Amino acid sequence: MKKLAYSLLLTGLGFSTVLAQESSDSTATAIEAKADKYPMWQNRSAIGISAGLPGFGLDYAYNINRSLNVRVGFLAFSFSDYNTDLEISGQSVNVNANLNSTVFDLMLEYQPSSNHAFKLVAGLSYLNNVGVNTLILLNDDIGYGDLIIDNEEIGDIDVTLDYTGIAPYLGFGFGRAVPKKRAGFSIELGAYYAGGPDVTIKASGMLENTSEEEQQLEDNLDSYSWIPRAMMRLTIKL
Amino acid sequence: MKNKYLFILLAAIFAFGCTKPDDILGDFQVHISPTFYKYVVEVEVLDLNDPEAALPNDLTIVVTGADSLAIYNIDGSKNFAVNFGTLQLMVAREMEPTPGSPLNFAIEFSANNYERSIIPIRVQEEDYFLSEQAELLNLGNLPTGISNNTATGSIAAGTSALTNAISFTAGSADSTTSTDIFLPAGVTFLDENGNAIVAKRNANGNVNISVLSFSDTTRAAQAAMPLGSGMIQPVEDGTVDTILLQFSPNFSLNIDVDGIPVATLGGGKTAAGATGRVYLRSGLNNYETGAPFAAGDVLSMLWFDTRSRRWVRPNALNFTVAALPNGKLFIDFPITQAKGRFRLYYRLGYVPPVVAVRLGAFLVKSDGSPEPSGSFTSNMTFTFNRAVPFFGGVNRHYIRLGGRFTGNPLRGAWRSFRVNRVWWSNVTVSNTPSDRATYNISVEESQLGVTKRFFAKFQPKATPVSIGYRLFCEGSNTLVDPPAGVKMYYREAGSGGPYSMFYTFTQANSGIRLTSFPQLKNNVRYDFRARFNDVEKDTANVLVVDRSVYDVTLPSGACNSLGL
Repeated sequence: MKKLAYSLLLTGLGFSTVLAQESSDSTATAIEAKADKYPMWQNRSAIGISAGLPGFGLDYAYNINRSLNVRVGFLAFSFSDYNTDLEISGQSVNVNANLNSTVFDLMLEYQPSSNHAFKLVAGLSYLNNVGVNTLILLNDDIGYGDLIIDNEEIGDIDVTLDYTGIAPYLGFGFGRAVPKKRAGFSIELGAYYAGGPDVTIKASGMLENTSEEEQQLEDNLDSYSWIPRAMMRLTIKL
Repeated sequence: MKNKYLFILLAAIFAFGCTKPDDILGDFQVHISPTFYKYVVEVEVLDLNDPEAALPNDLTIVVTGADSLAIYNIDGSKNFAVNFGTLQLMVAREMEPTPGSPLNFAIEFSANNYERSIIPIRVQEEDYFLSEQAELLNLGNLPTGISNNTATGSIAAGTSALTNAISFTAGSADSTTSTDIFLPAGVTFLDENGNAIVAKRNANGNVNISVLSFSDTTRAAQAAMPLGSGMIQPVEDGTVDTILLQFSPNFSLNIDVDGIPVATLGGGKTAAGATGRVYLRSGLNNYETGAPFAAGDVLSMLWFDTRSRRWVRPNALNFTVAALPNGKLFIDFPITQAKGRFRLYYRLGYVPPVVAVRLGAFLVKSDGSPEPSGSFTSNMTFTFNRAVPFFGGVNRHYIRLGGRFTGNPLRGAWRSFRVNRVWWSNVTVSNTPSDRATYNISVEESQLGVTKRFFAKFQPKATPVSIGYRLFCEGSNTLVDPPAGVKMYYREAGSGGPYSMFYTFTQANSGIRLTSFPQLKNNVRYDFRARFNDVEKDTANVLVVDRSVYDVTLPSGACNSLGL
């Protein structure tokens, strides 16, 4: 069962079967060697709250054996109506940004050594509308001869970058999913592989044809396949 | 060792995820369609006698009429100016025409020693591009078919009455129009407010009379008709109708006293003695009977009212044709209007049978099949021909049609009018040399109900080359759609020849990315020229390859003028 779980996880992340086999064998040896130093490992669980990128979250962790924990949880973050003025090509524009992030995680944490808090984390997540929406509008009206063209008549550009779907995750950190004591603290750094974002451009008025650039921007962002994750987590053992 | 591999892997993940922002926006362009306006009206302004002649420096352009407030120069200003021989106007967005509410205005061109020219314009909804022509008549350089005769008189210092009678004859070179003018002594001259014009206390006043005589047989005289619409003129004869006038003696009378224009004559009974005599050239047909005029026939007279911009009857009078002892026919008429254009017309009460006519043009594919998506802009002249035993054999009416046309003849520019009878033997169309080189052009005649339709069919001589363009502002990543009114010209690279116009961007075609150009040949190099307002941009030696897209950088001046 243990080997199967490792194999599925690592195959999903693009590792070779050979590497997966080597990893699981080594892990088994390590667990046996350190068994007596972590006697209370069995069937313990914990809840945790976390904060960082990409949001704030709640999770539940379960201690499968002395080296392996499973964790489910979600992260969410929303930031609306961030307004700023920028100068673009000599024109003053207002930028209104909205950030959204909702992530559902199913993670496996592997601790190579029960003497150290270092861990490797892998899993699958469902990203739900993780991205940013930006509305760009000219601040001033434009003069054309004796005519004044209202800035709203000129139009706006509404760009949305959105990651939605299942994304494998890989990371590392320090601290146990289920703490040894009543409470614990951990940090974690990793990245989701989400593929490039979906890009939606809605432009209006005289800028309407900018929406034709949707595919171009999507192609340009294709290499932004990885979404970083940097979290701090407080846990309480149940 | 195993952990090292994993660290390296994670580091790589973050490295690959960080593309420079510049790279993200490298190929990304902001598209701007500077649609500050949708409707463009352009008027090509020419010297009637010499299209290549420079226009007068003191040319004044005024836009008048009910909807003149909606009309701006193409640069958004009220400074109306001719650039590259063309006046381009735009309609302010908030005052665009709506269904059932077209815009009506007129453009007046005036300059010293030129006849004032008034071009009326009607912009209906979705008439995004209209093309008209104003041919200015230089009184110092008259074309064949128009003659100017002058006479002078005087008014005693401090008085207003003509000292001595003035009598003189005016006429066109071919005698189609021949007129005697007689002003008796004692007549006074009233300005447009009805006030008598008085000579200065210390000097006699100079009375200047000029009569322009027009021969309808010439294209120039037809082009010099009011409103720039040739022989298609609005006539108020009980009802207002747009009709194709028949040939007739016609002349323009202008009187001034020391430069002050005279509108009417005064002087009580004396004024009634001011008369004109119009001679009827031998063989001229009576419009009513179709037979040559004879003594005893009855005619009336029309006068062009510049205020209503219609031909009206200056008085409710008929004039009976009389004959001189030598057989020469004439009518006498009282001069009640001292200024303007006059022409003989049907007798009062006669209602001629009319036929409705519509002119248009349309595009087909090179194989002759319908072309539902193409469009072109062009100027053409329809000629209605009639074989007649006088005036050298053939009467010709020249009717200009310009604008944007599509595969549907009912969607493009058109002219509609009525004629008093079907009198032409055939209808032909003439075009610019560039159009003739590009298209096989023929006239298709059809009948729809009571309307006789003549549509010019434009069939490309070769399969058109399709090319696209991308316009950028200099030094920026902004992709600009050409504003309506940008005109494109071409010539073969290295030819050194003149440029020919081949495309006008309009609201209807500005969003099209790949356009067919029948004028261009595949794998041939061309010089291109773009003109907009007073900006001209040349791009030389461009190899045209079918279905290619070309990047063109606009000079910053052009972008600035667009507010970009």
